[in-house]
Amino acid sequence: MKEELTKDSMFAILLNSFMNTTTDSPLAFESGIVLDLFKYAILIGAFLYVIFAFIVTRQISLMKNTLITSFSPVLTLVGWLHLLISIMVFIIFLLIL
Amino acid sequence: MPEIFDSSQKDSISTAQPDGATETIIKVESPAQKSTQSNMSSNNTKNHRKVEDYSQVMRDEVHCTNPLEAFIPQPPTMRFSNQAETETIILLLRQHPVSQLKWVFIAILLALLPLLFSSIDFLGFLPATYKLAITISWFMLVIGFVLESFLKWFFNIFILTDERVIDIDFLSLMYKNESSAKIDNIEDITATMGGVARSVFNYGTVKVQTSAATVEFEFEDVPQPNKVVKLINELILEEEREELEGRVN
Repeated sequence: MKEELTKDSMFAILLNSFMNTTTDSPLAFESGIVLDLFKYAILIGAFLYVIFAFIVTRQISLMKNTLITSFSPVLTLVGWLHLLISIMVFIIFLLIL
Repeated sequence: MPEIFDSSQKDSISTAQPDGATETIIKVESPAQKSTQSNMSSNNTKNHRKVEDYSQVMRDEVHCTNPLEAFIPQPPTMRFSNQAETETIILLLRQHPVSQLKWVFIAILLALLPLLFSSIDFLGFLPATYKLAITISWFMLVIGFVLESFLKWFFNIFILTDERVIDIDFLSLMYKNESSAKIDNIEDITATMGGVARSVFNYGTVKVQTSAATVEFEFEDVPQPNKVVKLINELILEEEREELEGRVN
């Protein structure tokens, strides 16, 4: 009886180390490793998106000098808002994942 | 002796393409072929005439102040980086909005895709926070796609000034191409319209061949291509007239 309990507790420790504590799903697929993979993929994707948003902002500032229109300030604002939102999303992902 | 050039006196060749497109090629004749007594001696004192004075197309157009239009005659508030002080923008062209519907539909479909997957519960095995992160990431990608497509449309422009033809291509976020040719170097102008959408909404491609053998400007899917060809033709004639009258700077 004591031996069985020890086996059970060892299994529970192994399972807990493998499973992510943030999930209560019964599926083994939701193991910590898989969730970590998702987490890092999402974070890397969000970081790359911040770089993309920065390039967009730079490109808008270059192109608004190429073609000077009354709409350029609006585009510049949109570009900066886009960059700001992408940074905020990256920070939110860092916090919630 | 100054001469008057009438655009109707030029050779205009219309050919029917196998796919139903019509192509108009206008060849500019030598000014020496037309000699008429001039009544333009009063203009000799001016270096540049107003475009309405010599262009029928521009006489019929009104000034456009909306920077989001695809066909902008004489935009009063627009300039471009290499514009000379004496140079005036006569026409600014972008691709016709109808030709941009493709990416608009793609963006709408991409935006609606999460709704489809939410009914299937495709990401059911993931915790709620991960699902939320993936959904936000998806919408950010859609926003990025829309923004890039809009910028490509907005900055991909063709400018006709009283001196030059300028083609500014914003091909991608990393690549920009700007080329120009003087109007008196233009040899052939070709307008091509083919397909149902182009015929219905009156847009097509204008090709401008310069004297340099390899240089060709292609204005794709611009509104009113025949009007553009006619305007370029009028500008060429005005350049030749300026040269004959000694009004060249």
